[in-house]
Amino acid sequence: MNTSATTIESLRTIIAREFEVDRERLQPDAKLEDLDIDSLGVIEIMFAVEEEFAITVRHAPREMQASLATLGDLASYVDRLVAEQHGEKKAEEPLP
Amino acid sequence: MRRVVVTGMGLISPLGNDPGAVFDRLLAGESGIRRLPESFNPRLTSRIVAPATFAGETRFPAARLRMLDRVSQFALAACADALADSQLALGALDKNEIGVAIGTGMGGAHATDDGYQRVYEQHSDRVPPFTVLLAMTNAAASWIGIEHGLRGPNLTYSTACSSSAVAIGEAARRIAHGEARMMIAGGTEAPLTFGTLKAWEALKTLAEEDAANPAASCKPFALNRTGLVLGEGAAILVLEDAEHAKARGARVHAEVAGYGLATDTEHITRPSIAGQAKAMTLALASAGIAPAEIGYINAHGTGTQANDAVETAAIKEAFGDAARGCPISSTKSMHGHLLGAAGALEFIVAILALQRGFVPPTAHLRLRDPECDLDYVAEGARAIDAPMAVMSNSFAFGGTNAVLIARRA
Repeated sequence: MNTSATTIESLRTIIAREFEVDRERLQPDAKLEDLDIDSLGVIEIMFAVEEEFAITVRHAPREMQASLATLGDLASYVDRLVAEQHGEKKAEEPLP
Repeated sequence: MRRVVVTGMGLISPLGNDPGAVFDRLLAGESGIRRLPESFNPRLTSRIVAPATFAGETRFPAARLRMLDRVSQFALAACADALADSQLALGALDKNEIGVAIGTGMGGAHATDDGYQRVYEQHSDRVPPFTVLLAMTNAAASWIGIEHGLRGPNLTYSTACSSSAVAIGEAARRIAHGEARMMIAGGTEAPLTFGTLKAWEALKTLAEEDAANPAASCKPFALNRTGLVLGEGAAILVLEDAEHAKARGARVHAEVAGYGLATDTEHITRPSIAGQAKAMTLALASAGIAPAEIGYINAHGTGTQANDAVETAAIKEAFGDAARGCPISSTKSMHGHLLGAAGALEFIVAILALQRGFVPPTAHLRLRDPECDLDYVAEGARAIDAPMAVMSNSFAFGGTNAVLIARRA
């Protein structure tokens, strides 16, 4: 997994703000479930992510959530979307 | 048929959020109606409204708040107060036997307004992700069910201004027929958005501002009445099988004794004497009481030309000789018209009149209209001899007339 540190940091900022979670709990291996972030929570994060990273998230929540268990997964997902939509780097694997 | 009683009451209203204190203010003739500041939106022509004193952020954490339109916030807050008032230990009960019935005219008007504003005014393609969940009409009822784990019937009634009277009446019938042991019933409305107010402005039914005293702009039954004043809030009641309430030693506010429904079919807005009178007659019949036994009517009394004259004639038709002896008031003169929440708020007001033996006045009624010549309690609060029962009228655009009767328990 080749997740950029800045992506993780941005997600930590978004989640800490939107969900009032202590930043210290927002480590890459933190499970979204343990943070009380459910499928709707992921959609909420993605709404902020779209703005922050100027990308479009197309996937339905069920598909997204199945592959997004941790904060690190979320960051990788965002990185891939950025790469695909902004061509900064080639997507390493197909989107989940 | 089982008897149904009210064991809990909760309010969010333009006159405060404690039923007893709200009733005291009504007795004192205080008005919660005021003028919105220019800053609300300079394009608004009619600025007279009755806002609730309510800050969602003091009741809900931020993450929760994003899932709740103001209409659902009101409902959840009023429901919590009603449950506290009922002193129910919900945990000990079978929640399959407890349902929810909520009336609302518009549902999540704030979310709808906000979404449209982004799309049409700001030309944004980004609508907040939960707009649908906030705006859907049944959100308030659903959140009450979710919050308290109530797995009985979860119902939303939308019959405009009679929505919550219908919700209470239908909920009471469920209990009466043994289909539920308890129902959380009432109404909620949060219509004070720019878009909604503009739509009401266009209908030319809103009251003109009283230049001398904006708080006196709503003048039901008066010759110089000019229309209704939109208000916001929620009113929730805990309805309970009387036997169940007795077994647990509950304090009972009143019995839900009668419910009448009749529909006008002549016009989408114009009320009919026959339809309103029929709803009152049916309510009296279902309660098994005579008109003379009604000690107070909380009138629909919107302050529009059409309603108040028609309602006066309808009461005469339904009550016959007893019409002139019955004190009647429209408390909308003070708390405004809460649309889908109006019926439940006013039913609570009627129950408090029954309990306290005092009738709140129709405020701002100085100039009598010869067409509205019943006893509208214009002079101020009045003490009444312990009445046996009280009535609350709720009529609606679309024609669904609903009347509730509460009897001393």
